[in-house]
Amino acid sequence: MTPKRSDQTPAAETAPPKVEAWAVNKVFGQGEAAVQAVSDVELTLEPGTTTALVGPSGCGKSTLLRMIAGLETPTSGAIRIGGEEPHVVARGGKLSVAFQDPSLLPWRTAASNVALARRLAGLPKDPEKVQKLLSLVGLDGFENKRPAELSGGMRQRCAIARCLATGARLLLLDEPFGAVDEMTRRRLNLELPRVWEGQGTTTLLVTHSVTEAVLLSDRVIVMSHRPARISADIAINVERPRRASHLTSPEFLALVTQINAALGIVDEPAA
Amino acid sequence: MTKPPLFTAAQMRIYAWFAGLLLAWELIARLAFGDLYILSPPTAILLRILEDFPLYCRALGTTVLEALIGFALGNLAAILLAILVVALPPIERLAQAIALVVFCLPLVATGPVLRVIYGPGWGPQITLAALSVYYTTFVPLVVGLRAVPPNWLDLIASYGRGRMTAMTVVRIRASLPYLVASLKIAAPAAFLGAIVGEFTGADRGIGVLSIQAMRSLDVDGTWALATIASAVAIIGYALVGWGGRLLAIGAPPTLLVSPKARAPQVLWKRIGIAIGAPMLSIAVVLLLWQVSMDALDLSRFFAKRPGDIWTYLVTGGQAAAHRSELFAALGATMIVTIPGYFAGLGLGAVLAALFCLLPTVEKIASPVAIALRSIPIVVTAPLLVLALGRGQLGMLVIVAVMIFFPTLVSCLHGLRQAPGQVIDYFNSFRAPPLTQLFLARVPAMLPSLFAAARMAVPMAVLAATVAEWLATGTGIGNLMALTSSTSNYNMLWSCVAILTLVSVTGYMLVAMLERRVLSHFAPEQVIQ
Ligand SMILES: Nc1ncnc2c1ncn2[C@@H]1O[C@H](COP(=O)(O)OP(=O)(O)OP(=O)(O)O)[C@@H](O)[C@H]1O
Ligand SMILES: [Mg+2]
Repeated sequence: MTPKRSDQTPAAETAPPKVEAWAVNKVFGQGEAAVQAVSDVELTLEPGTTTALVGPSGCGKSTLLRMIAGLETPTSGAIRIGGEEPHVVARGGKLSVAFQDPSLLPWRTAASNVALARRLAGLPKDPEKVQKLLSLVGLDGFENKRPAELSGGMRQRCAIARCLATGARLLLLDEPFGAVDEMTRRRLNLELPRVWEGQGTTTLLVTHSVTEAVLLSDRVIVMSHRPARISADIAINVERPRRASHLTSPEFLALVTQINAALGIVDEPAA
Repeated sequence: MTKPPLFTAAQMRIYAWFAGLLLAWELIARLAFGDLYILSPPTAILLRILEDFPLYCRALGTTVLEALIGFALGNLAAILLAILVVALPPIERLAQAIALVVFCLPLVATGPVLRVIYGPGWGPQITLAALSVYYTTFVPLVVGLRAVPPNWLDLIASYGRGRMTAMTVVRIRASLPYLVASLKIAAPAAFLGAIVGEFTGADRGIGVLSIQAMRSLDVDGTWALATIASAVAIIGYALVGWGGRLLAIGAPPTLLVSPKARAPQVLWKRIGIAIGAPMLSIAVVLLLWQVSMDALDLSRFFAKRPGDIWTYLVTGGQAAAHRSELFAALGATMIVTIPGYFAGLGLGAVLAALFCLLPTVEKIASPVAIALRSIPIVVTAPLLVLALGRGQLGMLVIVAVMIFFPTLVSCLHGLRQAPGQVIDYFNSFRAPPLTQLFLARVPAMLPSLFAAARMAVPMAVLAATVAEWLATGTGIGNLMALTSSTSNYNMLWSCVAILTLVSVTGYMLVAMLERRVLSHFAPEQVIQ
């Protein structure tokens, strides 16, 4: 397969894009200190699907996500989003990243941090949308607080709201719920997909929670450590919209077990 | 209904101490120094200020205006250059080197040179005020503009925005605390610069009155002027701090950590930069000197070019005689400057450590030290000369005092940086205070001590040359005074060049030592 440029029709502007990666490698450093963070990753994210990426800490998930966001360039291989290079897509404000670290600007209030995303993407101001997103992530009444006055989980929720503020059709979420408590996390797990499914987005979600991966995605990709490559690719055929009751269904639990096995989380053989 | 108390107990205690101090001063001045023409009692100073109020007001107006213009220009230049350096990293080494050379220009000698270039008027005062704030704003601002968490920059990049947006949305705002902290230091420094400018031949201003008072042995007048100058400097410092608080801009984490350009990985490139960068910097500085003189079309008679100085000191017929005269004067100055420098640094560091052992004393001494730090010590040079005589001891004390206060304040700040957990850890062993001091606090203080030591190098030279210029009649300061009055511009420019070279070398030596010591004691401070 070779990268091909797709035609720029107005429909392609608003439709969720397809993401393709060919033989992507990323090496940090040189010589003896070199770290192969990602090796030989082949990946296609179908338009409008949610893909979860799980794997042990340090296996290269964030690096892969950052390359798709155009923040790092692959050492070799190529990545195309709807046929275009990532940094070109980023320049159009057509992708949105939620970082592992909330990275809110400390001198801006929660609301103006969210509004900043629209300014950076070159979109007109939309205070109503900002307000709606903040209340979606449960930050009503905290619009005018600065990040230092928010808890860790609240900051992360604010970052999620910021990520959704531009209405981008490609969402790259790096452990967006890492610091959010279990209860809020489940609520967001169930509510947020409605936002992005409603408008149609291609989503890549990096997570440490296998349950969350299964609950949110159409497909779970498991990465292994050393070599940092894709070790399993599991389709999740659970009906949508997902509900809390799914969490206890036998097919759900079977998938969780399957992924845990792919991650190497299995019982020690009895002595 | 009870009103909240006007002053807290702690503030009351400070005021009580202050009043006690004034009373003691009054008594000592009246009883012990009655006829010695050294120390004026506070009441006499106050009377003199009231008596000559209109005169002092006019002079103060002139000096403050000069300082304000210089403050604005110097800081503007520093801000623009800092933004340029951060936006265009390749020019950084060069810009840093030139900034350092400008910082190390001996103000006292630059004054007369500027005087002949500008003629009468405010030019030299404003230029010196600008020069004396420029570096202390530039260096922290580069640190501030750079010290932005990388994930903020990632955020900008993830929307496909580049350096410009990063600069306007993130960097500039993030550097504001650094800017406010430097402007606080710059306010008194600009005032000091304007006064030094007036020392070298202005027709009005506080500096002019100071010289007149000192030359006519008018002790009360000298004290009155030093008091006014100190008060203005402290007010300037406080005003900027108040402005910063009003805008809710917090304090920066550390200050004046020397910013370093990233070293390349490859060895031959590193060696190339180590040798090439200083050579290039020297070449560019010489070129700038030549070009600026040519561009302004200044007469070769007083505006000497690098080539003239080279002929005068190296290749000319009488070069050897000129050299020996210059180096003899330089030697006489260095004999007092170097011990004074170390005495000031040592005293500042030791006293800071002592304060740390006696927290109650620290509470009172710390604000006093911060207030005294902003006093333009040079203004008190005439007093110190009056008090200590024109000998080497007096000079040494002037240099030491000049360096002592900034060092003390910087070290107190550093000592407070000792991480709380580390102190808790030592407390959990009931470690005696001295052990704590040497094992936990002194290492935490080292970065601040070195930062102060670096900035103190040109300050020491300034203090020594000002004292020599005004009073003692020795050393290179006196040589500059003589040559500027006899229009021996070759020698004057030689003095400027050699003093700049000495300051830059001293600064670099301290910076080298700093890197050595810090990579051992505080590796996190050494940015590589
Ligand atoms: N900028 C960088 N420079 C050098 N090495 C890096 C850099 N970024 C990542 N690495 C290395 O690449 C490897 C993968 O890092 P990455 O951040 O992608 O892991 P991760 O899977 O996201 O881990 P976690 O789940 O802990 O977030 C690690 O070994 C890391 O040390
Ligand atoms: Mg990660």
